[in-house]
Amino acid sequence: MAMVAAIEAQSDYKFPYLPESNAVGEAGQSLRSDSETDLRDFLLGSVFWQRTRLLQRTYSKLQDLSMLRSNWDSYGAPSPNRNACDNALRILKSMKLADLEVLNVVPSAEGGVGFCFKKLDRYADIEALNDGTILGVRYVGMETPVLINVDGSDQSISAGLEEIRNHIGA
Amino acid sequence: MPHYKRAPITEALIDIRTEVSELRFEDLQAIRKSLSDYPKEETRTLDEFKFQLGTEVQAASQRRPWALLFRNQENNQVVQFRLDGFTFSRLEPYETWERLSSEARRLWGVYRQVAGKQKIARIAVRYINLFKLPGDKVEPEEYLNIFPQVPQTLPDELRNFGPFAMSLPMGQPDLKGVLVINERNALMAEPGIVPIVVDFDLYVDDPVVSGEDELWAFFQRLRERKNLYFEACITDKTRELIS
Repeated sequence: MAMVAAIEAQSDYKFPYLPESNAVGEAGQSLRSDSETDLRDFLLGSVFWQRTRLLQRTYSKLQDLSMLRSNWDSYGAPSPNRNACDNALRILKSMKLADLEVLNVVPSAEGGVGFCFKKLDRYADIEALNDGTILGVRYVGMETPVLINVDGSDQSISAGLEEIRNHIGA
Repeated sequence: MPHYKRAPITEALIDIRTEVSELRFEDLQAIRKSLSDYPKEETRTLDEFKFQLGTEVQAASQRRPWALLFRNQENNQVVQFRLDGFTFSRLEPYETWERLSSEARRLWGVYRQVAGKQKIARIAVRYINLFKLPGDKVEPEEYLNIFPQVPQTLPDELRNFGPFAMSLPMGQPDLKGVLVINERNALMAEPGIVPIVVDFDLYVDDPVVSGEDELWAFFQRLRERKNLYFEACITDKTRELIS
């Protein structure tokens, strides 16, 4: 008997989720209320579990984006390819709870995956493009955007996220 | 318990929940001036959703501020001051129980100054361990003494399992509490590693403690109990891995 990290040949396998209920109806509402209380107790205070929960949700969004078809925006945008999704996953792995809390994941019109961070008028994004490059940019309000240097290495991704964290104030 | 050089603790926390009182979110703002070593601040909100069935269906949602969260410059210490209590977390790298509990006690004092002396409804000590077990698949009994049992009558090739999640509440009659062992795969494994989270969450509802010294002595007992379970749950091979 062996414990494994992932099951091969089951690409659609969903990672076991933290307890959440999506039941509907009156009885379902009561179930959901109990489930939400359980979930709140489980997550309350723990930075690790809160990060895990947000990571799960973001990972799920990333999986959805990887299934987009070309021309998803009706303006001919290419779908995110394997290069972009693999790099997006590397970026995601480096994120801390503070990053995930102000994060939105979107497909890039140039082909790829974009992670957008926003707090009040402070904005930053980091994009994993289909050609394998990673681009980052940050700005405040209507000011001129500042490029974030990311050369694709794990260290530069971590440094880029740190720069974003400081910029956003996360 | 021996001191492990590469302790797998990814988060250790002390949590104190109080009975809901007249405390308002605005009152928590005064905490800020006592936290110069925690420069990063966030407001946490609570979503409330009301749904009423009848001749007409009515629904209303409300988001209200609920807690202030502060992080230190290194992002490895996080404290939450809520309307119903307080949590202090130490993230990696873990130091010692003495440092964890003394900082938690100091911050609890800050909370008490602002919130007043409310009745304590629940206390908890929680240690979340992340074991990075080498290999693409591992025999659980080599590393852990607690894991899901798969019937031995099944053919060998059908007994592999994972990713998995297991939650095991265990009563602690002498402490009048519950220790929940949450064991599961961590998200997004690196190649050649099976990452397993073993989370020991020991809590006591309505603890019978009179005074601060007794409260913190009781936390020490919870920590000792957690250590007992930790040592019982790992094998010598895991001890080698983290020593």
